[in-house]
Amino acid sequence: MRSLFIVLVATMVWQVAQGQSSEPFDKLRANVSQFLQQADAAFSNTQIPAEWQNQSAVIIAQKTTFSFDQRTSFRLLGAAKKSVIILEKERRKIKLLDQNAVTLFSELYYDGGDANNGFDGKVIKADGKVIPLELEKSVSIEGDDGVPGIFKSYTSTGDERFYKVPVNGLEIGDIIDYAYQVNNVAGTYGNFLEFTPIYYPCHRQYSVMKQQFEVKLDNNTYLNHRAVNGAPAFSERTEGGYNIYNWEDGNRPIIKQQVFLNSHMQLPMVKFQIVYSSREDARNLFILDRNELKRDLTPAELSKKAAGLLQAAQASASQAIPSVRYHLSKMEVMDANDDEYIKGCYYVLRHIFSVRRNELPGAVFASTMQQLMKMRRIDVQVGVTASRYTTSIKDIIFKSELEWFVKVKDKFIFPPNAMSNLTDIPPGMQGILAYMLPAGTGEATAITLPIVPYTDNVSNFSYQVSMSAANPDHLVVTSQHEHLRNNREGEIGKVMTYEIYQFDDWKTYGGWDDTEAMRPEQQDQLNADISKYRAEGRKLKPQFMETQLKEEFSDVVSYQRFQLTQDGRNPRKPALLYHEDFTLGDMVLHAGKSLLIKLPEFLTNQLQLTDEQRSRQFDADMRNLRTYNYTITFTVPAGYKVLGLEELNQQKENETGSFSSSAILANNVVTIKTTKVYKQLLVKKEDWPKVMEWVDAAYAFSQKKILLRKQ
Amino acid sequence: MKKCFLLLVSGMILLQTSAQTEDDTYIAAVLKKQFPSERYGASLVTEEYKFEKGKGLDEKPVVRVLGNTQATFVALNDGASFPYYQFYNQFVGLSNFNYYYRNRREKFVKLNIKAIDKPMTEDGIFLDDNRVKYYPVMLRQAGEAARFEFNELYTDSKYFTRLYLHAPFAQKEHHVRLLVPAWLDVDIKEINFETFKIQKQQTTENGHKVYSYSIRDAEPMASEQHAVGLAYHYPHLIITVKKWNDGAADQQGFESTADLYKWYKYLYDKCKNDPNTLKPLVAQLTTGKTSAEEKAKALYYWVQDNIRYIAFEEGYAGFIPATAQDVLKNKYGDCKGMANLLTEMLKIAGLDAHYTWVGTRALPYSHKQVHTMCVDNHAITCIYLAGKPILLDPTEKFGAFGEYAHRITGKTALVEKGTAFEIVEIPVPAAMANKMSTKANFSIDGAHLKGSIKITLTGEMRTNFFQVYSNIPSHRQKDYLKNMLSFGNSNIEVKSSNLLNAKNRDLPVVLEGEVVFTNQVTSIGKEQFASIDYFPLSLRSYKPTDKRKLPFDLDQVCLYEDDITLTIPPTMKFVDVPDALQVETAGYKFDGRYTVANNVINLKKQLSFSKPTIATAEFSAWSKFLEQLKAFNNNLLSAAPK
Repeated sequence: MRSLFIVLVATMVWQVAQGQSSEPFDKLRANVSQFLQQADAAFSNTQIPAEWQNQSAVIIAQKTTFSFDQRTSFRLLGAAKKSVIILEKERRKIKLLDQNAVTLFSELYYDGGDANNGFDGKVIKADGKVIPLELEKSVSIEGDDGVPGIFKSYTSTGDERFYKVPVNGLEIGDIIDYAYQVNNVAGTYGNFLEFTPIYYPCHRQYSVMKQQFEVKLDNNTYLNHRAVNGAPAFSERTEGGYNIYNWEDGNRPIIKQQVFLNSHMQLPMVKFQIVYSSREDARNLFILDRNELKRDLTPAELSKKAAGLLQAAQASASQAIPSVRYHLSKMEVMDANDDEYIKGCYYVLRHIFSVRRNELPGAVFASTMQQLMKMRRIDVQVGVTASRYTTSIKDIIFKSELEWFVKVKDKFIFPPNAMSNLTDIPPGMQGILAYMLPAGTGEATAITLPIVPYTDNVSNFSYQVSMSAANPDHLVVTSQHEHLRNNREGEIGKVMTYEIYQFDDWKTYGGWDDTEAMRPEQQDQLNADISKYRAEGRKLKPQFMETQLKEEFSDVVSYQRFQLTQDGRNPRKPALLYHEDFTLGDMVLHAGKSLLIKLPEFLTNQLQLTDEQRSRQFDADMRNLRTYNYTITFTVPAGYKVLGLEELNQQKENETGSFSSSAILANNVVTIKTTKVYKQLLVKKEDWPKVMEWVDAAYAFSQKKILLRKQ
Repeated sequence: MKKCFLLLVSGMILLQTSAQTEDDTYIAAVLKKQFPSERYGASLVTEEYKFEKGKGLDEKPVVRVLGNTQATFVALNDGASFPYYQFYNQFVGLSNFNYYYRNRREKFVKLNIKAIDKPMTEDGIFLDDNRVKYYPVMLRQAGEAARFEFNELYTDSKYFTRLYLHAPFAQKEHHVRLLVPAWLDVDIKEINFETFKIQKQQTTENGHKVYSYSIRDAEPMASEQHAVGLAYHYPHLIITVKKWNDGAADQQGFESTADLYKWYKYLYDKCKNDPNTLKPLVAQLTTGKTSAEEKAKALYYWVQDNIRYIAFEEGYAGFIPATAQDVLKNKYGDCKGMANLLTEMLKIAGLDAHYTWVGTRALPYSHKQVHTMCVDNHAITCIYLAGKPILLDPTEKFGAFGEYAHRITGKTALVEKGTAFEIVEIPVPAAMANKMSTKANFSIDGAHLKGSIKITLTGEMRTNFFQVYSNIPSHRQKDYLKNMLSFGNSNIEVKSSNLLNAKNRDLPVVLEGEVVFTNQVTSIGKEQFASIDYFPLSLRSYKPTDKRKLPFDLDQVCLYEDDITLTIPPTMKFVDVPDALQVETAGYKFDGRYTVANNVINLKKQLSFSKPTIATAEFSAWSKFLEQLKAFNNNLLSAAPK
């Protein structure tokens, strides 16, 4: 038996018979030859700016074009199927300046899945000699794992058949010039189609000398577009009966790594979306009138659009209502007070959709809540905004950018996910402008969504530490972790791994156990299966958490226990609370007969700013306000005196945040307490030194030690 | 976010539920007790191999091997899911690969489904002909059974080299039978049998010599980090057809190394090189070079630097090198292509150069002991200077002339010499040939240590550095240098760095920098505590757990040498100075000691590995050694005012 250890992972390769006819490859070449030969000053360049000579590669020029065609196929039964065919072409010319780039571009990838697709390229040597690609050496690939993103099209439909081809004669200093063409077919059964929006940052993986988009559309198709953060905008012209949209940009160096960078809100970017519609059905489109593309939408216009979407969501919402009401009646909250009713609606929706099925789309959630509140005559308003990590509300141009919420009795309620609570406000929605949709024909109201204060987004870490009796160089630790509100979101994914919560979910909100509706034998089988998976989870969970702990501490000697006390999905118990017991090495140092204990190191993963990160080009988006409290207690072993605690007392505070620490000794127990607060959501780049004060203080603290002197 | 880890088993085919027999349930219980962490195991695996006469490449007489395997599995847990797979390629065919389940009458019945068939190209290979057929299996209840059967056809016994008795899964019983006909002379070598209980038997059946091997209660083959190759540890057979009579005449197999060489040469000669296309480049590269060594270096380094590794290994392309002119034109090739190109270029330059076959350390065999194709998996070049063989490996980027990558040291190389050949032993260098030497001078600056560091790398340390460095994007290379200077310690800020001899692989590479070691000095009262020792963090992953089965492969012999000095103000004195530590074994050695002269303390430290592996029998001593190193590293020095 041959050895059998190759793991079934990616790098599966279908074989193409070598030495077959070159006819299909001639076709591939022919389909892009005109595009490759197009006269374009940007592509005739071979020199790159001197300041970019020490980079890995430079994109000399890049051009992507989209054009559209329509086709109607008639069927014997059913409506005619309209299809929109997108022809996407891209040409890219890159100068390769180091081994890394030569290695990356030694193999090129293309989609050869359609007879009308195309691909070709060449290597241009430093002396001008041209070496064409040998497409006949292409090998097909299964799936698209391993295909670098730079070779994937924007208009992919998931039906690609990728190939890879080795690039012959390639060396450092060469230029590679290649182009692809793909035909993607998107079917429509109505009279409109909004393609997936494209967000295109101007700064790329490599510095760019020139980049361009060109979109050629007929009168049934148009381009929804917006340039943000200083990016150039699309220009429009008419030619031969077509509308041609052109975008050009250039001289974009690589952006250096930054922490707390909100790239969508700070870096120049153009976003666009191709929309097909026959005019009579335009009402379903987000942008109805092409003139709207040329300016910011007014609040009234935006809310009118939102209202239209809300109206369209009503039907789906109405379908959800009966099962929600059934749950509510089983819970006996239909006639409960308003607060109980509101809570019930939210958690039932969480249960039915986010936990058991798929999350409700935002508009459907808003419409559902609206209808449910109206049934009880509870005042409700629907609001829309845009996530701070996607766009600003004035720059919304895509339906998908709208974020929905409702306001009921001064509570802002966002669509639930499987782990969320009623009062959760996602970080991206805090402190930003939103519009409350008018009831009837009134005006939309602009509001600013609240910012959850740092006193609410709290993490409390508690470590009880002692030296191991078996090995005094080891520390035995019992820890408790508590996380609230937004801080809980950051931890819950890890903590809920291997937890089977779906079947007990109803208990978290006083809900109704819908498995009661199953037949007894089905219930028995379900319970038996759940027990088995829980038993499996109990075995795997500690191993998983130990692996996670090893990301924080360099030497986890052993991991004894993980216990999840509460997951915070219960509105009455909203904290995520869990315990761990473990033993650590590498925390006890010796100096003669004295010991130095790295207790401050329990403040794990403190941000350590590099030299590069100390100066900022952009303002900092700190994500959300929050507080981290640590309490570390350490039992001093017999025969030792503690020294150096006073070095651990400090306070650094300003309007952006703070770090404070204290250490005391009482009853032979050292207690160290620290608090780190992020006070400001958005920090101007000029104020970055203020952030560094307390961030540096926290990091420096985590590197300190306490001294135990032998008595 | 995982909704439910049930998703881990999704994608598996839920097949016909198999009936369970008492035997299956019993065996499942027994296997579960023996291997508690396993979810499934084989109750019985039988393999039988027969030999027949056939025709191979160029219609030459060959021996073909027909194999039949049956494997019966039982679930040790409810919901045991696994893929059962078999590999095949152009030389090893796979047929009648079937899946059976037990029907209600407890008989095994064939399932009417086909195995999933996919290509399975090895990592790092652009194209080969390896494929896999597999069934995704889901056994719902413990004790449920599934059986598989398949036939293999080795189109030429040259590719029927090794049989393992262990498998990736636990096995209650595994039996292998080789039915050798009277017309066939076969050599069967037993490797690693001494550490495992294997029953052997030789009988006669219908004129065949039958060699039987059985193993019982076999644990699954371990998959562990930093482990030696499985061939070093697990028992297996190496089967070599020595000769046979095809009815008309005696045919020679691989009775000796000469026979193996003859086959290699036969394939090698199918590569039609055209030296004329190489001549202009060779002339250009050797212009101004006077000595043979200078010429050799110029050509060797050029191939290393300019030919990329892209491997086409489909069919005989896996054995016949690409022509030198193709490799030159494409500027890519695999090890065979690169070795072929270099050999031809060296010959054109007038050097005594030869194509050479070698097995890397992944294969624990020598040409002197084993005469079958499993002994080689790599190609290099051998030149003779003043009658002395020097091996050149153009796949090993940045390898210096006269230095050998660890992966081929200690092995034998088979050098082509026309109708003759030579076996060259590749020496294992002393640890000091591959050295990282660190010299640093620090002084205290508040809570920090400030100073300069100089790292000198020789041998494979240098080669490895450049292999990584050259593949980092240019604008990030400075970060890599900073990382080197900081010893992986995030508290080191590198203020400046300089790399010397970056272009000359014949010289040690030197990395210098001015650094600040932040948060390194703990001041308590008037006392100051610091460390100037840097524990080699990479050894952390070489600490054996209780469950570890396989020896460690350190993958190098090398020497780390540190000379670190700390100067404190003349008003202070050293109070605590860590004790020295000396440990010496046959395979590794450590010597670390501090010396104080007034206000200067010096740490001289040497850590060397002269053997690249740590055997399981050495785990206890090795763990103790790691603890000793850690304890040495965890000892700080202290200083106080005089």
